[in-house]
Amino acid sequence: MSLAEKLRYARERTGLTGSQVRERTGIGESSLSEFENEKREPSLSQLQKLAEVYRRSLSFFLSDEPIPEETAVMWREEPDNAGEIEARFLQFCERYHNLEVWTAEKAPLQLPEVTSDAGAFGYREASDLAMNVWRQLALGERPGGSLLTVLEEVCGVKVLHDTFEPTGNAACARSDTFGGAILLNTGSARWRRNHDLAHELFHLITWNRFHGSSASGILRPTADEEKLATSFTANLLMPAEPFRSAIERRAEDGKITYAGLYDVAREFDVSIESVMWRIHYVYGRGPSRSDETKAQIDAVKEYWHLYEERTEDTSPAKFPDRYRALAVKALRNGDISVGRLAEYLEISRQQAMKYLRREEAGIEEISFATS
Amino acid sequence: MGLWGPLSERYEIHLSEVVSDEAQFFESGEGRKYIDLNSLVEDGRITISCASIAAVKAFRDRFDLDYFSRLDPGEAESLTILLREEARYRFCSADAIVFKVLGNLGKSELCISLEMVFSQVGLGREVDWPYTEEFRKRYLQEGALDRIQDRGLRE
Repeated sequence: MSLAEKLRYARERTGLTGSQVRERTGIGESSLSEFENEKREPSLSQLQKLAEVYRRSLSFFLSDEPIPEETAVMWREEPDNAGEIEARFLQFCERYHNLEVWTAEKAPLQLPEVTSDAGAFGYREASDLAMNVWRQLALGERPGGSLLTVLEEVCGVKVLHDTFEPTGNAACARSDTFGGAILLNTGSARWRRNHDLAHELFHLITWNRFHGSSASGILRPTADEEKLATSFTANLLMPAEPFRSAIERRAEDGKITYAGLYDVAREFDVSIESVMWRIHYVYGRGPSRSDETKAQIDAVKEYWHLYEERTEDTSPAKFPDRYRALAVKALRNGDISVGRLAEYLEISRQQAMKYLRREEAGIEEISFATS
Repeated sequence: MGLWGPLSERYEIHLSEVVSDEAQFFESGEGRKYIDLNSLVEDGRITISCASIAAVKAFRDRFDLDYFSRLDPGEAESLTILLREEARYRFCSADAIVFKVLGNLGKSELCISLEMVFSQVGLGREVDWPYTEEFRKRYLQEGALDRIQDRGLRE
């Protein structure tokens, strides 16, 4: 495939117009048209600017190979500028994978997987799966506090925080090359991100069960799949026994105050609504009383503002600590250049150089031997 | 730092076009300072060189994809130019991967450390670790080891 074809493909894939490309690169629309129509070749400097805007590696454009099949991204709700967001997300996944290869750092644990030959999959299976994951990953009695760290550090799930609309939205991707990856919204509250993280984790684990391993392009989960993901999320973030114990500590005569609900939500780092639905299921209120639970939620919503004012954490860092640590390690091992580190961490070259000057900090040792 | 004068008197200084595009500013204790490369180019103290895409592609094709991807585009262009003009240029870098690539290609004579550059123009001074001769030699050796162990090169 020619360079011209790849340039056109990459621009169209991000959904950018010629005028948007001009604003971001300084390359005029007529020049861009000439590049895309094979009338003229860009300089390497121009190609680099275009590669940056399209979120592709230089090698993507230099290769004569056909365009590899794009990794599928599953959106709960596809935003208007999905192409650009996906390009940023998949570039992050590719870079993260590169760093793992260059530093020979593999995550110690693989995510469990539900395959297509697993038979029927309903609420019971979603709940059992949540319990298996909870045990396997040793998430503890308050999983909301540990899930992100365990997924990143132990399972090597690549979690990117990015800003996009609408805020209550997230995405995930799975590939044979980089494994599982989750895109969370920086604009969402922490407990909302916890919910999204567990929800997307369900999609990663059941990807092959519902969509097969060869899915590509943009995927949308079915309504049934979403309901199962919600059930999985509630079971994973609020394991039955610790949850029951937290409720009963605050309940009297089978009743709990709004303040008590808030305390439980804070303890498990989830929303009050999630707590109320979890009460519904853990205490076996059944489908016949769903409307009653909905009415209770509506009633509590009137007072929501009094209770949801939890101290919000500062915006999460865009890149995970593990990703940054791998990038710095690769630099200090001499496996990547300062310029590459600057690109990968989206910092200036001078900031990147500081990591190299502090090289000694990474190789000094302490002894932990007992004798 | 007052280094441009003595350096440009003694050496022809070439920058790759991609590197010159990136070298817009530097950060000092007083904040961000913009680098006016244009005036240095107009004065003839710096020459901007570029490599064609075909040449960079040919350079890339000498390596395993994984090895090439470790270089940033400025370095890829600089190395392409260096190998085209190897009788004339020496690559002054503080990047381990540049020295590794040259060590792997068996072209260790094509690079020079900033410490050595300063020494040759009589500006002997202490430099940070990545600019030292010891750093250059260490990573040239690692590149040579990669070559012996058949890592990095396709040919």
